[in-house]
Amino acid sequence: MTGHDRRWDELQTRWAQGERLSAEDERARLAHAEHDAIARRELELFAEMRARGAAPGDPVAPALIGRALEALNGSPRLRLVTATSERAAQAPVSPGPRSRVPRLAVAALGLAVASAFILFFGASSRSRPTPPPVVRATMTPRLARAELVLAAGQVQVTGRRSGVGQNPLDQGESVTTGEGRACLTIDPGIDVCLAAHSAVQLASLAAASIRLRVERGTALATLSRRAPGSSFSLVTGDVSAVAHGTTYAVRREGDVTDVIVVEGIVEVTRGRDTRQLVDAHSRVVASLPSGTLVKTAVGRREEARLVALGAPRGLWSGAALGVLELTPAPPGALQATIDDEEPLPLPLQTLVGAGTHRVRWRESGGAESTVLTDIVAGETRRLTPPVAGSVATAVVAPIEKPSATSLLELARRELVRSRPRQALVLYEQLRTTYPTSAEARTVLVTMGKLELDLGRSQRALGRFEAYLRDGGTLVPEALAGKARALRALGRSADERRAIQQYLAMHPGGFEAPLFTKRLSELGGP
Amino acid sequence: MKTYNFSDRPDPVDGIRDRVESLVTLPNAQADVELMAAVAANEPSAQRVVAQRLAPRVRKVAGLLCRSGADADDAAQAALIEILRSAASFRVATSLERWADRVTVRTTLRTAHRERSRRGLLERWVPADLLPWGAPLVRSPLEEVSLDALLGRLSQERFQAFVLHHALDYTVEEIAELTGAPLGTVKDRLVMARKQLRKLLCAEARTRGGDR
Repeated sequence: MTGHDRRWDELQTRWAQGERLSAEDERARLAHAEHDAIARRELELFAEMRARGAAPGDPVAPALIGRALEALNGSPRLRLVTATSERAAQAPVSPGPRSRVPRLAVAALGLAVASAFILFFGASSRSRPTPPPVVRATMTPRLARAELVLAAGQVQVTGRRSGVGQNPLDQGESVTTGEGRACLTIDPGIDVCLAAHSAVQLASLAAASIRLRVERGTALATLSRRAPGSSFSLVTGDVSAVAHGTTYAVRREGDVTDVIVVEGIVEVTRGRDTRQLVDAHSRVVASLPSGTLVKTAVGRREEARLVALGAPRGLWSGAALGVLELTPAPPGALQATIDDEEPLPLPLQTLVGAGTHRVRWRESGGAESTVLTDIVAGETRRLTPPVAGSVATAVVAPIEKPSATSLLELARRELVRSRPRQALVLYEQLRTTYPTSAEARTVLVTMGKLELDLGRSQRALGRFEAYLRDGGTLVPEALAGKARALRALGRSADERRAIQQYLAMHPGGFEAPLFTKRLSELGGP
Repeated sequence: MKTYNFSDRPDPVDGIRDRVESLVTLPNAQADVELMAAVAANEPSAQRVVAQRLAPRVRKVAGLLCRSGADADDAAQAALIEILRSAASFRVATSLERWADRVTVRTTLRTAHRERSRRGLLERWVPADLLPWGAPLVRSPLEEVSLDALLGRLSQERFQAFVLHHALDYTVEEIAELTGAPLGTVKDRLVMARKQLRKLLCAEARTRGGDR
């Protein structure tokens, strides 16, 4: 790139990010494009974009307007037909041992007043029909939905046993953990996870101002950005930590409150006067006697411990959820992991996304057993630990045979988490369990690609060649993969042949331009 | 032209139906405020007038911000409902069209985000053999880079920032407010979108040069 080109690139970047250029710079920007074809083309595309915005409105189907108006006017309204129902809605008055005379007198007086009222106003309003009276319902503050979504080990909700997937929690209720962990979700987008020996109370569930009181222990809150006018806070005594979209924890030990911010910014207030903004990787300690807020940095180890506390959040992030229940076991003797997340104490109840999940029990002696289980949305799946305190049972615990689709889905999830090795294990399991299925063949190409990404070119080549032996819809990808694997292995002659084969079969293929260039680099016939 | 006076109408709701027609013929801000007051009072004829006037514009803005026509239709309908429901918040300080644009942008971004999350859930069920490929298989190297080709390659966030700034003429500050992203992030998205465009054009030039 010449100096002139660089100057133009800089001006164009500044302009593209919304900066107002000086008249001289603007002239230079436009002038350069007259001599540079690519710059000219770029400006043409920007002009086309602007023209699209300035174009007159699109023609609209009348049905769209009709549907919008219908939806607008179809919203529920409360309309009273008769006045009697209004009286009926009032609280009934209990009859007392009083004389009828005063009541009759009051009724007669009321009738007389009503008659006079009707005579007086009836004449004036006769010209127009009286619309039925409309009662506007008083709007009570909207309450956010709060629900226990994970209970592992000893967890109680206001004195009773925890119930994941049962009724939502009410304002004022408390969640307490002993030797265990718990998470609750509050709409919209708030997850609060409690460490062992912690307690929180749902002080306010008003949607505009959700407030949780940390009675003791550690509560980690992870929340999406709040809408304007809405807030979320964790409070202890007179310390309040308000966040608008972040990950942070509040720890209370006696009179000392510790606010640790993992992501974003949290506003910590104490009483009316002390206020401090705490940014990521920082903590503020508030102790009761001194009354001051002391800010320090947070170590990586402590931060990692807090992040791990909220790690199970991924389990209930989907829309279609079911309940997974791992039945009680001797406390401390067993732990379970779901989908290779953090180990959790038993008994365990959690909401999980519908689909297949891998549950792994780990005995304190180190023995492990794994079960793949299918969760159906809206239903509860109870699993019993295969060990029941016996190591021998754990080792030989039967493993459920998952379906091919379940294995594909599990592998897909591993890929989403950037764990190609785990995905490969699952693909291999699929090929072993269902060797004659269509999936067993098609995954060969994906496996080859993953092997290639992992630098295992020889294995990748084997996968691609295995697929190409029988052919299929993924032949272009398999051929392209084979050529890449051969290149990585340094087998130029074979690579040339693979590329030639690809270009002969798919001259307009996605990889064709690159392969054409590569072929010229390789030279030869 | 029919005129009317507020003072002779003590009840603001009664009789609105009579004057809606005259209001639409007054192309000034005060007339728009009164028209929207009628909409806020649930006057059906006023609602229809506003819906018919704004619908083409709403559909255009939604169409620019959505990648598929079906999504744009859904977003336009949701935006139209939102505009009519928020009629009471319309003030004279801004033009009705510009105000409606902002409501449409907000609603469309929200709809697009929701749609994206839904697709993310569905993607979990896509057979593994479709991974990790997902891009169109065949594209002729001689095909000229079009604006749609560029827009198709941008991530959702860059796409939205690019359209809001370069098509709908929103400032970086306004985009930050509309999308809820920090100012620097919006600038970064615009710069990266432009870099992608540049890269695409350079690749196209190289291919064509190589062919010749």
